[in-house]
Amino acid sequence: MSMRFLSKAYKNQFQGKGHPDYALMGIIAILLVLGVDMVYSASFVIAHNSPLYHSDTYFLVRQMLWVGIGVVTMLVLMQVDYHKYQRFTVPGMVVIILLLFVVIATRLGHSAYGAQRWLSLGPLPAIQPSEFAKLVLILYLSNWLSRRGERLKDLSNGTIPFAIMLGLITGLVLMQPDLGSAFVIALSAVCLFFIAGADLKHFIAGGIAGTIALVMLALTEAYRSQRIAAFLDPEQDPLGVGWHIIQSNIALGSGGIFGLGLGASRQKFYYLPSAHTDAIFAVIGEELGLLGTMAVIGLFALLAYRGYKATMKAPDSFGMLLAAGITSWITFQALLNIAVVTSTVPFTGITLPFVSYGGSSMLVSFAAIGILLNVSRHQVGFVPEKNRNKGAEPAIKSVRARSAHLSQAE
Amino acid sequence: MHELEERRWRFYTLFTVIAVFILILIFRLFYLQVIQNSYYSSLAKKEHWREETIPAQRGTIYDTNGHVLATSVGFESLYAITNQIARPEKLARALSPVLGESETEIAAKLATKQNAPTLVKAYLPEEQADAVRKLNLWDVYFQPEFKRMYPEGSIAAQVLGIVGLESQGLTGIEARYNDVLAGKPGSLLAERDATDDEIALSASTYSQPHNGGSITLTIDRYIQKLVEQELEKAVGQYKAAGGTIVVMEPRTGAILAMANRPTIDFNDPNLFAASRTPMYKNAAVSDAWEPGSIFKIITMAAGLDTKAVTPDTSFNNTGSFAYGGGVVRNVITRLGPETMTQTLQRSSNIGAAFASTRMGADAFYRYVEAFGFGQPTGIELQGESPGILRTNKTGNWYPFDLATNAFGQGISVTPIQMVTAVSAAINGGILMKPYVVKEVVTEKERREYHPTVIRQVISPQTSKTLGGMLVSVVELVEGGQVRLAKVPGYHVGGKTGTAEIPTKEGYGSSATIASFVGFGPADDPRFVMLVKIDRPEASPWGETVASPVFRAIAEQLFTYMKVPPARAVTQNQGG
Repeated sequence: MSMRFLSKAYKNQFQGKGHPDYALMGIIAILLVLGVDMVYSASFVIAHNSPLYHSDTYFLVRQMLWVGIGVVTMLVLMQVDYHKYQRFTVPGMVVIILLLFVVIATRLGHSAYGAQRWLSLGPLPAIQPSEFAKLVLILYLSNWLSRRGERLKDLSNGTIPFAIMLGLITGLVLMQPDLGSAFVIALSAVCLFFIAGADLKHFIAGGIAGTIALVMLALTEAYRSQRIAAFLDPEQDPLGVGWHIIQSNIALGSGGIFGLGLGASRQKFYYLPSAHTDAIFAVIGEELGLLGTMAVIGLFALLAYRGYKATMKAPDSFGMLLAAGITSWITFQALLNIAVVTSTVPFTGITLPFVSYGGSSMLVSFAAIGILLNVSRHQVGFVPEKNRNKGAEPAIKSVRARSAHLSQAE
Repeated sequence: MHELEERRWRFYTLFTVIAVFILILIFRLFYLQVIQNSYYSSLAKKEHWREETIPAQRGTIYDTNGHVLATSVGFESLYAITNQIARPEKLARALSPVLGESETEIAAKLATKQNAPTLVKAYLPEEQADAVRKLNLWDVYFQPEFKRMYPEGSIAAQVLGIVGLESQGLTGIEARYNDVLAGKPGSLLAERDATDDEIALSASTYSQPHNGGSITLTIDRYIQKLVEQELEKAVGQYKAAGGTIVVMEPRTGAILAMANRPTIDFNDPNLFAASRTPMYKNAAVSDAWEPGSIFKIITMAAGLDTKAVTPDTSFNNTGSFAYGGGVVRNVITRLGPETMTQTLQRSSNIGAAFASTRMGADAFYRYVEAFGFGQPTGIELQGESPGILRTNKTGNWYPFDLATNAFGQGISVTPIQMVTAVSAAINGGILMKPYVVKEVVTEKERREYHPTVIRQVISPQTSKTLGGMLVSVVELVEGGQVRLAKVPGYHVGGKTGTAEIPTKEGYGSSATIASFVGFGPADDPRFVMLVKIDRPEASPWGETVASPVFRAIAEQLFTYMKVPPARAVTQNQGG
């Protein structure tokens, strides 16, 4: 097979040196501008008044710092051929499982909001291993699923090992307890499994089992059943568990179509819990109105569109699954966050990617987008595959997949 | 191809799920932000806009010479929303040295887990409040509050009255003049954050508080303290249930002192307990009692003024006096001729009945009513009783009542009525309206109260004659025994009373109310004083219980009022 017949651009795509998806970068940039702005607006009151922070810009400065680190991470990972991760997926998984154990088991984990989600390592900023677990699990599953091929449809070779792996990670995250992250992880993994070609009967059975497990989880833990009760009737305990539901509804509802204006949120004055983190979308709704909330939803819809476009044009299974996993994760996390803030689903703590304040979440999201952008540089899509079947083009995808397969597995 | 088709199908399924999810969220947001917009806007307004009351400073009550009796001082009280405190123990540790309370004490207050303001410490002095502020604590806040202060202590407690926890007058002058004293609280309607601090995003509406006006009483703190002190002593000494002393300026009707026992302590932490409420009332105006012999002053005034009797009118005391189906007897009877002066000196019931029956019911009751009995005096104090007076023109009256009323039985009077009537009897015959408020000053006006004449009850001549008779009562020396009300160096007049307390069964019980009403100096009376001691156990008699109290107070009053001693009176005690 000769590359002489291919255009230069096409050659670059083939070698993973095509231009990254600038549209996707643009979407992220707009989200960042909005996010940094809203984090400042939502946090300056708390930052100003609390003796813990001393400065109005406490959260703004930190958020911008994390954005800077994140952008650099994204730009670096964008250059790294995503195939290189394949050999690190198993050790990465081992490390993340250990870290999750450490968070739960040791005193290194410092508790916030009644849960053990952070891990402090010496002078480094505290990290949230559950955030990193999202990316590591997607990398691992993409690699694993891409190698299964048709065996994926097999119960003992496909569905059961997948369920065990998923159960292990979500279980550890749940034990922190971090239901929001566990839910996002499970949803992303299920998407991957589905896209990869899961057996439909197994998939539906697994879905039912998962739903039952979710219901059990909600009912067994007192604070979760309280949250569900509050979701169904927030007025029952308006100053307790119903508080944040009522307050975020007030924030969104009083925003109207055009909003109260940038910086004019009232609810951020201690009414709305976690205004600059999990509930930032409510502040957007209050200050920028329906126009603002629709813009955010539109931006995430575009992000999903560009992400899945890269997915469908990925040259091999691993790339495709990796892109699908990352896109599904970011999309579902965003939609879940919005669903929680609009009290469409019961409350759980979850951040709005690229918008909410938060170091670990920001860094991991950027890393994921960096990887996704790298996949976008390898675009060939379905056309060459069709051509391959017509015999006009070499099976680029299968070649790469096979070579990757051979180089590692054999 | 099959693989590819399946993959496409799976992608489209995923896209559909995401699209449906997005659509649901769009509908939800449209519902919240467009359809429910006005509902949530009003909810937000209700939540954010809160009105804060800015308390007005309650006015001051002064004594007649401008000394402060009650005033309100601004303090800052420390509060916390206890269910929002992150680390109560840490907070308690920080506050302990500044507030001067133990850590456990403070921690107990912080541990209540209330979602409402909880008082940590009330009325912090300025330095202490500043010290707390310096700690830069996040969980506690200050609330400006006024505290009622009483620089002279709890004197004239029932006259001043009690101020409730919401700075509202509950009794006494504080209640009667609450409109003047309370002022008008201001308000601040502002947008607030969840911790109740103002948000500077929109203009707030402020209305300034108007501080309360001040009141100057006719009470003289020196005389009041003297009276309180002597009353306290007497109640203890004679093991009495209580007592009342009222001092009035007879020319004007101004109250110079008014004290009651038992009394309240303004700083009593249990001031609002049910056990204290019976002591709130001002017995000097609210409690009517059968005055007994002191009422003979009134009978004699009426008799002299109608000319039914003169001081020298004499009758033959036979030991009993039958009238209207009843018989009047004396406690100790001296048989034989008795003049009206001797009637007063000996406190003869028969003599008093002789006088009242001689003038007749119409005349007697006309005078009794003219002296103000049977109706409230109209003094600016709360809960005044009219007393009980039955006359030949009202129901439930028997002719024998004319005889018994003459020496103060079958009639109930209040201390303020008695003092007012005796003032009229000895001041030249003019009934003055008693008053205790001299001046009211508000933001708008300054109102002065002047003595008010109600009526001429008896002629000046009668008044003078009666005064002389009453001086002779005090100055009478019998068997070498000087009357206990006698103030050395001065002429004073007066009359004792020992009233049996009527029960359902009649006058059988041994409990009495001992009293003395007197005035001085005799030639130009500066004060009329009623001393009333309830249920003294050590001795039942007005002469032994009430007279010494009168003398002790009168003696010091003369000095305080700079009344020169009467000429030659020291040698001529018999008068």
